[in-house]
Amino acid sequence: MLRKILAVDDSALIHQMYKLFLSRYKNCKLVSAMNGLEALDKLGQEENVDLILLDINMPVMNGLEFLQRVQKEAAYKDIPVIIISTEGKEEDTIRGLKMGARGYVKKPFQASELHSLIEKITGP
Amino acid sequence: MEFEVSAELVSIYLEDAREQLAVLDDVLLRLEKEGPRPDVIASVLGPLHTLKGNSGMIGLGAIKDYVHRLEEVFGRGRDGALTLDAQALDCLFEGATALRDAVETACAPGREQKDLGAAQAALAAQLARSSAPAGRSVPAAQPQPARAGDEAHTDAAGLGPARSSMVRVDFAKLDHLLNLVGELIVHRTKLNELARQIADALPGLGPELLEAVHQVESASTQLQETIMDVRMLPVRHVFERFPRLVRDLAHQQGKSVELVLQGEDTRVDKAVIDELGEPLVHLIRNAVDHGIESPQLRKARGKSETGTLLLSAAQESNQVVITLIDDGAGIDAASVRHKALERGLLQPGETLSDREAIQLIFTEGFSTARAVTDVSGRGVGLDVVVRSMERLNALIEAETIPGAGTKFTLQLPLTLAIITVLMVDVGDEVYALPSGVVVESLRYAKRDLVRMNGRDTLRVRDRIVPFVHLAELFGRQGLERDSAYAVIVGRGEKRLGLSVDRLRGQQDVVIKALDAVVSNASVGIAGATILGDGRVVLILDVASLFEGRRARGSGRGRVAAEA
Repeated sequence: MLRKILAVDDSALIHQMYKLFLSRYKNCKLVSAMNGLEALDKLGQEENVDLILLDINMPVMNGLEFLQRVQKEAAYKDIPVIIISTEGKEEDTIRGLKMGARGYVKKPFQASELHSLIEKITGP
Repeated sequence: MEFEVSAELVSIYLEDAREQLAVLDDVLLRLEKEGPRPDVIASVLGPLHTLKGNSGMIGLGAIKDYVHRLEEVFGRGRDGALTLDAQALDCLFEGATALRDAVETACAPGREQKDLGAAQAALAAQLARSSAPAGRSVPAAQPQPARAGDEAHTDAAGLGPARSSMVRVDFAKLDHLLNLVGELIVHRTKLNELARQIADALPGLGPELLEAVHQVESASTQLQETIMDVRMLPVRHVFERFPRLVRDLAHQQGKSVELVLQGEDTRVDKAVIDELGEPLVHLIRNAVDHGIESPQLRKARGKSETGTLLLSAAQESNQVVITLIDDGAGIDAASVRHKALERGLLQPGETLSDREAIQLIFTEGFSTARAVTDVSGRGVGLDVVVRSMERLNALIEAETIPGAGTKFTLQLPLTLAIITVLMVDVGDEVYALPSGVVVESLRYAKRDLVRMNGRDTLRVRDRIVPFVHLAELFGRQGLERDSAYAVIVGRGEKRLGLSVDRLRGQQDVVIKALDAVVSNASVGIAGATILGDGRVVLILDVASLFEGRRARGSGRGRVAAEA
């Protein structure tokens, strides 16, 4: 199946890694945003986003604020969100999960961790 | 790791890490100056967090752990649980240096991971001074709106939304692109020439052909300008590490120095930026070491105890002028003369104006303590700076007012890819001299030449300048005339006169990097350029002329195309 994944992170390195990790999926379109505000823009432009990979600590608009906005929009609130967290910010991850995120992966993550979580949520 | 950490990933990581570490340095400097302001402390947390995440992702565990500790220290500093006093800041400054070192080493070809244990322990000691328990508990139960401003990144530094419209490009690709454009321009010139001939022969087709050639010409000129522009970066990239450098040097020597930066947005070709750091570090080091006096001495001389260094950049036509001014002790021309005589850099009979004498500090072997390593931060020979300037086709000059201060002026080309050359005729050959090294050109008569120590010299006003007959040097027949032109070229304080038969004027040429095809075999040749008629013009390597070496053989051969 075709997957369209929106990756939100302020690190160019992480975007490059997503590209690398997701290259195993033949039908996968990766859309990148550097912060929450840009991610909202991208959601407006792109149709049928299947999954959002969301960093929390970002400038301009952080991940939790983005999540809150997404949850308020009928058109977006059912898009599954995976939180990409970093050591030391566990409380933010918990907050995100309480706000409706479907799962989380902790940096540094392995490709296989990401794959299994993506497949669990969007199907194999 | 399940995946290979490619060179591309490492370079993306490194580029980001350098930005994050620059924020760290900047924040530390501000904290030292402005006191432990929570908002300033908070501004480093975002970049550190990203650095931690990135370091973990590419398997740099020690760096990740260290940054995690740093975050803790700053976090507690922001919350007031730990006072970021002078002692803590010293530890953080040292830590920032160790971290930068570790990041650079880990990204260098050997990918060696440095042990940050000592730095880690130092941070732990700082944390132990804090009053809060290790695990700061946060009420995680209620979903809270995200705190705006919390760990705000430095948006001013251009990390805003615009960033995603940017594309990262390997600089080598831009180099390649420019080389291709250089080639295009050579062929364009040729095409132009042919079109004109054909237009003369075939009047029917002429206008259309010339029009088409003209279109190609204008598009390729725009292409060249655009590529040049893409390669430009603000000098901020070089300047931004100097506040930290000055702070460290001043601390080491118990001096108080303020660095003021101006014109950081001035843009220069990245290749120039890459070469610029080292000479500027030397000059700044030199200014703090030898220029700025100790606070006591400054006070005794009626100056403010804090010395000032002003580093500024500005574009002037197709050059960038960088000046470094200190309000220190200045350079004493008499002692420079004395030292130069002692070291045999000046002949007993030679007279120099004060201004000329000062330039002797750039001479190789002038500095007394050159062997001292840069760890002590002393005695770096300024001839290192001169060599860098040569690689950049740049000129450097010093001016000083004893007791008041010294000013260094660097005149740099905007780009290394295009140089302005002075075309000259020697016999029936055309040669080119980089304009950056040309001091002046003048007409001379044979009787102005004076034979000294078996060498011709030329009197230029009150100065005797060694003289080289280019025709002889290249084994060619010069035109036998009673008078000709002399081009005076400079290297540091040195001057050299070159005889030429005719001056053709200045011209911009696009340099195309080539393997050492031309330079190895040739006599003092830095490269070549191609004229519209397809004729190859050699560019003289002025540095080798000064050293009296006949061949450079350094593999720096370059072919340039007429622009």
